[in-house]
Amino acid sequence: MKLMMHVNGQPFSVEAAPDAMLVDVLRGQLGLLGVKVGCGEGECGACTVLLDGKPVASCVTPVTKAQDREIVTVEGLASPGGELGTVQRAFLAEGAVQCGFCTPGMLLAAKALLAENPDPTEDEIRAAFTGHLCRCTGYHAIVRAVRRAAEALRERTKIQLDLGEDGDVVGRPVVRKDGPDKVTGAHRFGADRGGEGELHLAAVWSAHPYADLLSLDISAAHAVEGVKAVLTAEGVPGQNAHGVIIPHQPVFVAPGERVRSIGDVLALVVGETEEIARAAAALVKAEYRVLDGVFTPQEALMPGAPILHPPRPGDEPSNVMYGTHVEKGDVEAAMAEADIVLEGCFRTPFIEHAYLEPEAGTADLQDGVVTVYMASQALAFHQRGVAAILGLPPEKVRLVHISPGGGFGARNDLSLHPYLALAAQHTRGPVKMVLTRAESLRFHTKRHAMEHMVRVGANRDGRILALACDILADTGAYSSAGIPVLDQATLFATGPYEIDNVRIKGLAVYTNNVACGAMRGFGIPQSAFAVESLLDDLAVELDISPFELRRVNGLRVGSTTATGQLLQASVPFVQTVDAVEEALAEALESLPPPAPGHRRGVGVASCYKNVGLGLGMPEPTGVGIDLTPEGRIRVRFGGAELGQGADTVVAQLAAQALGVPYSLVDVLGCDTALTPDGGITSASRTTFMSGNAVLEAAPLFLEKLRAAIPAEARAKRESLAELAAELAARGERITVEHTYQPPPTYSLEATGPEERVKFVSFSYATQAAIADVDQASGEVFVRRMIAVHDVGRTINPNGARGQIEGSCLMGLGYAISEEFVLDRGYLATDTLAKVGIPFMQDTPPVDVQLLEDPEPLGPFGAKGIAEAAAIPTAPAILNAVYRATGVRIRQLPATPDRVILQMRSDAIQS
Amino acid sequence: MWEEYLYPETISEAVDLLARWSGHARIVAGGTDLVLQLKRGERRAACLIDVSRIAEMRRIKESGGAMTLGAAVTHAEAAASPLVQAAVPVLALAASEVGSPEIRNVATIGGNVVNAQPAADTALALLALEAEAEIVGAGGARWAPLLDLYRGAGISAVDSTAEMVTRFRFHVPEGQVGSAYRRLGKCKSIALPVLCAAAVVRLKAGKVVSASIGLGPVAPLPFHPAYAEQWIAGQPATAETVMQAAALAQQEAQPRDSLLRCARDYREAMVGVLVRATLEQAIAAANSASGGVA
Repeated sequence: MKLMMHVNGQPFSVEAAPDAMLVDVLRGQLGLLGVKVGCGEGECGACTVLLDGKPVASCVTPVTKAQDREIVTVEGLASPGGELGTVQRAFLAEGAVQCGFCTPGMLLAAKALLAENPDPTEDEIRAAFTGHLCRCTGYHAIVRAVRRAAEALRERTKIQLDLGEDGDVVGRPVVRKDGPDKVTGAHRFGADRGGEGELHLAAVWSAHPYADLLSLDISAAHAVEGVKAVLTAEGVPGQNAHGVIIPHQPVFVAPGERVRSIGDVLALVVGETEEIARAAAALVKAEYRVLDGVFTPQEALMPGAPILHPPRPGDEPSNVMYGTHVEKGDVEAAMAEADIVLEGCFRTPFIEHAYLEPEAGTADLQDGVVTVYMASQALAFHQRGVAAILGLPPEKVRLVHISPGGGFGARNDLSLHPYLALAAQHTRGPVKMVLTRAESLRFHTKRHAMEHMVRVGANRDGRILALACDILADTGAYSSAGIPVLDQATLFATGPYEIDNVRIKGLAVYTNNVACGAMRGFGIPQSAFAVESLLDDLAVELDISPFELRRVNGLRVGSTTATGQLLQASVPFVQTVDAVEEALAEALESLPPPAPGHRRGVGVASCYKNVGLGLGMPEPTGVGIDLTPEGRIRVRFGGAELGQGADTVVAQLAAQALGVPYSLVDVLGCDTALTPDGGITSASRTTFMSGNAVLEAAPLFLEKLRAAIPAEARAKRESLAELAAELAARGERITVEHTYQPPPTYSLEATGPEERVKFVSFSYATQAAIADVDQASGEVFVRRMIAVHDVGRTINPNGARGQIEGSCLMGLGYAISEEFVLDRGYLATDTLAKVGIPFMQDTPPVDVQLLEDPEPLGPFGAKGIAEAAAIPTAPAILNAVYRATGVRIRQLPATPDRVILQMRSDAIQS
Repeated sequence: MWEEYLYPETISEAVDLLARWSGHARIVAGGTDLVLQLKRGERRAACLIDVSRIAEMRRIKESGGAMTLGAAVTHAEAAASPLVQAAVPVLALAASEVGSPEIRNVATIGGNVVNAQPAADTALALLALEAEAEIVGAGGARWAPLLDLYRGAGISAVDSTAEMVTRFRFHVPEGQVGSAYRRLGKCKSIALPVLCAAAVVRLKAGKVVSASIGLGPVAPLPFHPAYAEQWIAGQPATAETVMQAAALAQQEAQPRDSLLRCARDYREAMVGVLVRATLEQAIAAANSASGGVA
């Protein structure tokens, strides 16, 4: 049918099917790719457009409703000349953009709000954004941006943007490199790419979490008109498996084999349209013999339990994936001596990353090279993995990282890459794959569910003498990053305290749950919840303030960690404790009293986190710096921009080190054909490692520059352009490639006196939460958070603050509402709403302090901070719940029913 | 999903179209629930008949102590309507709690009821107001009490392929009136509510004349704790009365276990907590100088 619509001030006549959704017409026909699809259910706000000035969810709006109406998308916010609107400028100025996926929807909601209400209160702002999820920012920067835009609109002033056009840029909130594209909707995410006649892919998923796949009949799917191929295990030319450490996760499960989780893939349909591919996928007939699976580590360890993976040579068959331990001193002797010994058992659930962008990518085959365009946190590693699957040498596979709508660790695994690559190879042409939210939920790895049994022994004066901890982790069906996650959970279970007697054992067990892997904090949030909660019990028992307890035991320069590493510099942990204590007094005073029926409590928790992979893993980090023909500086590095601001930080460091304006520096997204291997974007290592690489490469670049034109001492803009032109005329280029070798670290097993250094650096943090608990319903309302973080040196204050605020939001969800639920291996959490992510109204203000105690080994003293803030939040909140009600919740999330249940159970026992 | 999408301009036109499509067409207004159900294959329709542009279904009227709301009034409109806010603030409040601004801008009161979920915010408020709905089909028009429109959880007694809800009416509570609405959820968001309650109370000379409570999800249908309501009539408006009524309501309601909505014991206990909270607030509102909503 034909429709007349007015979009961004222009009339359009569109031809659309009567059952087309507005989002599909806007994206598919009008090319307005700034309208995003985050959930397809009208729950996340990414697809919001304005319909006659009012925000609506375009993914559940039939296109006919737009007939003769005015529609505004993000593309309509800038002026025709391309000048950014006030709201857009405000978002850039306040650092309210990270991955950018929620941004178009947020901008439009802001515009609609301010059109109706030019001076909204904070509550009114939060109410206007109830339908908008953001997983990166923690919402605060967005609220600040809306207030700033409101002010600028009322006063008719122009918001100034720091574009880094001159002077030193380290420490300045310069606008992100990818910011302008993200506030205009121009940034192309995975699902926005293509549109050039590519074929579309749809996966056939296992219907059961544990079953023998008896047969697979793809004939009906093949017969569908428009289907070009149906790929199965049979058609995989190389290795039908991959994995972060153990390469045992099948690309396709073949008939005669077993499916081990609900996320397993049986076949891939290639069709002319996504609709055709999905319809055909539904026609694939799989026959199963459903088996009794195991869904907790306990079930998996019972004698007679089905064994999910063949044992390693020499090992007995078992579902134990990995075990590790850390020991120091004599725990039992110390416990016997201690004045007091406490113990507790703590449980944490699976958690869904819930990035706003469901997985999407494209691929192509040209000149014998298969290129995959998709987000990856481990580009070079994934290139090798895909090559092995395709049966090709790595040079015949190119991976181009596409900055995604959030990562948080899940992009460490190979994702759609093998499917895209196989399809491109098979059809010899361009292909595209986009997952629905439900598919994303069943497919990618989750945060490990764990159980911690902790015992702590201490003296009356507060000194912790001994800590014993047994960790049992459910690693799901495949190992993914389970080994290093368990290592971290084990190593950092002591918390940032110097404890002479330590025995921590960790065990990761396979089950038929969805595979678990890397997620922000990497095993440490689970351990921190357990240990920081028990230490809070200790503080109560000893009648000592939680701050004092931390001061007495905290790591400082000269301390040794549980693995015997001597901490030599930049250990401002105790300062973080002091700073929180100070900030708390003022925060408490500024809050209104709790509502009737509510009790208020304050909770404190701390953490420390490694920077860099460490543990003896080689981390050579490459970087390239080029002078482009236009006279701009281009930095090529292997770190992946995931929204966390990696590109921006590296550009700032390069600008500073080269003495050129930040505005003259461009960053090339990582691409195995063009950028050096930077290692993985994980372990909070990018600023440190890639930053150091840039700082080492910069003088080499300047040297080459000086050699080319000896009179040049400091590159100035006009000269750089002239120089580039001159060199081009001579057929010369200035380019430098350099690899930074970080100081060596040693494996856990290495015990030699020179081998105690396990990590190059650590960051420390303390957080406090003020929470009100409704005594009748068990609801927990966190009113305020305080977060003091050791950053070494702030490179971009907006970026650093944004990472901390965003992490605190994840911690809040972890504490009170998030849980990824499986029902005997079947998906129960099958929509984004069910994940339980806090919305803007649930999110308390966070007072962030960035503590600078320079790390001598870091670039300008900087450390990594991307993960640390996700660690202490949940225990701080749960400690506040305890202080408010006397109820100790030992299982996350502390949903209202758990709080009430514990209250009752305590009452019965007392 | 569907082959035709039509916009009748009057109710009779809509009814005509339904007849002509002989059961293969469905009524739609905002579509936020129905579109998802059609996408997921939970329902089917060859044709959608969109009633959101029928003027008479968008009206809010008050006369002779009764209020009428067109079924195609959106939640945003109900929440913002000065008439609704003044006369039945509990409805404005419940409407403002539904989903998000994006949903409220298009989702309608009628759709909320016809979707037949036991915990729909506005439906509970309408229940507390003892509303009736007008249903129009080929055989004519009839009025029915709100609960009659429900057959089970997600199952409406209204056959949207043959008939449609056109408007709601209820008496504007008179005298010393107060109301309250409370939603208990894992998060204050559009995620699944654990429990919601709406209460309207009328007082006279320190006694409760009547209390009307809408509660969900504790049963497949939105729930009136009828026994508690009967008991409370004539009781003094005190804290003890409220507690007793809450205990009675808790006994009457029988929530089920749910993997995602919290365990049964908790929800049972929360019935008491929520009924108590909303009754308390409603009584306090009735006692305050201006009356109104808590």
